[in-house]
Amino acid sequence: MKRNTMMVVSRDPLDAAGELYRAQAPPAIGRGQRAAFVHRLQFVDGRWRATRPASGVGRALIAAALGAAGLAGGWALYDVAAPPRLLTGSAGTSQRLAFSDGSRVDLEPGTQAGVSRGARGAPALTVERGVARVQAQPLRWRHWSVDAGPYRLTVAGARFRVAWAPEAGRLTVDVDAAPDASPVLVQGPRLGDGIRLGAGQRLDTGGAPAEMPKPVSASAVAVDTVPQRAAPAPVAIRRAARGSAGARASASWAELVARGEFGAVLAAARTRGVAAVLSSASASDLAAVADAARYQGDQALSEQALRAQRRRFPASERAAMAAFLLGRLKEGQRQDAAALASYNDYLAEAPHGSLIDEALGRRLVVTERALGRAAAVPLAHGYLAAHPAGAYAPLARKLAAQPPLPR
Amino acid sequence: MSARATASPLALPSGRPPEAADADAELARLAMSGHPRAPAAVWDRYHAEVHRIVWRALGASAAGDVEDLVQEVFLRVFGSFRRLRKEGSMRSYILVTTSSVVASELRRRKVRRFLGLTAAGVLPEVPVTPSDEEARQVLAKVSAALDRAPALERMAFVLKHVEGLPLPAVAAALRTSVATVKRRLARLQGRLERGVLRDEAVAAYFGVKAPSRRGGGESA
Repeated sequence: MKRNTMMVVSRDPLDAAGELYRAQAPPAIGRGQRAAFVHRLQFVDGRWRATRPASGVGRALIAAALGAAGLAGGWALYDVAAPPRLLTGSAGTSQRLAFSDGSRVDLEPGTQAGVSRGARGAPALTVERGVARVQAQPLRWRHWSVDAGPYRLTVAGARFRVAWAPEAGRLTVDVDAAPDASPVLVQGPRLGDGIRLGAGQRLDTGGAPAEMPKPVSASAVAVDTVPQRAAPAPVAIRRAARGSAGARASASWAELVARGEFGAVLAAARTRGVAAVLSSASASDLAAVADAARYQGDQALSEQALRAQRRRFPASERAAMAAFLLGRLKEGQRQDAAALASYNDYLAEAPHGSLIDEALGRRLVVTERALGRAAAVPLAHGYLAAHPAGAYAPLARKLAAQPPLPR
Repeated sequence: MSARATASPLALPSGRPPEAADADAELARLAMSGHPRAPAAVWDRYHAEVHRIVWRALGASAAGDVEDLVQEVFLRVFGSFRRLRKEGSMRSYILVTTSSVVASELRRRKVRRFLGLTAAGVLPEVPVTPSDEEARQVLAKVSAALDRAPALERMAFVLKHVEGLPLPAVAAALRTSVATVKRRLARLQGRLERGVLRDEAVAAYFGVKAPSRRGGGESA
């Protein structure tokens, strides 16, 4: 449609927009992506062929432990039209589901779970109760989904543990490994727009009766058959989430973060003035702002809050934690030198801290990436000595076992 | 509208130096001969550029899809070397494939949005991590405006104004003519001028003067 107005532009708006876009640095691509690509190609009969597409879930499932559970052969019927399968773990044994693409799901004893086809044929795991350890290989174009009560996890490829206690309404997610660019997304009541968990991060929704009433939660989730989709959030929980708005004004920022109301924290901080918050807020509030900003994707503000934490509250536990989080943030920005410096700060300031395993592991990963294997080998030996069963032990063993590079 | 590529990919329209062309040609030769290290070498040389283009075109909220799409680009490249022989240049072929994969994904997302198949009903915003709040807000608004543009306009913008490719290279990547690329970019500029640039904050950030009444129409 013709218009009779025209902007008078002093510079090309597309150039200006391009400058804005160029200022955004993409996160590092997952380290496993190269290997995944290379391993999927074979040169056969004069042509490159993708021999191992990641869509294996639809073709075959090998449930190694299903025989003992009386479900042998059940997966042979698995296809698009098949209903979700319910696995009921016996009291004393665990079960392993091995997928043809290398993905695995280990169900701890007593766990009830089911697997079905989700969006685009990707695996959809439903945990009725209990604990599942999932190693999900990256899929092309699709994501794993894991439903637990009213919560849903969306996974592009990660190793994690999910525990769901329907009676308590408590969800716990521990992510052992996940690509920086594809964290595990957890959505559900009180989690706002969702929380993204990277490697080493944990989410515990808690199970306080006042927040997650037992009767409603239990009746909504404890069902005998696998639901087609995520169970609806219990009414009382929804009400609690809405009701929290009234108490927002009196809630601390840390409490708001715990409720998943990250936007409210950032709005309050901006109302007060970011500079004033950074210079005068308490250590708890600074930590809340850093967390809220990180969850909302505002890395610049998160970094400012973390640096203010370290500057204003030196030698504190929160300052050490801020150093670790700065390391993670810098890793995401591909600033390996800054990440290493921050991890070293954490290790020096909190030699017995709760994140020591993770800090040593991330330092190992970044050192290998930035400085090469030779530099990482001594760190690998040190890691194994301190944490032989740690989350990064497989990588450390791999590095430690390799012969020295020729000079 | 012409759909004919006017730039010769053999001429490396991105204006890279001859030695880059030599390395590019050597990689193409190794890949077509089935050399076992070719996939890794091609990935190492080009994955950062492909990843950047896909990420900037789709946005951070599609983070999981970005890596899938990068894989898709490289699988398509290796899966169809007859086209590479036709293109002549590995890099230009990879750019063509990247543009095609991203444009398809953008169209697919628009269809899903139109049909109401996505929960949010909106395309993902471009990743937002600028250093100041003003730029953050402007970028979010511009990104939303670009989301509403046709896929090829958005790709032309990313290749020309974000990646800085010259027009012939953009035209080659989009398999169209330079004139068509210019028209698409002009249309996109018109969209911005009629839309997001009327926002005071965006106009001020971009250095846009107040609108004045003129007898004119769309620039395209």
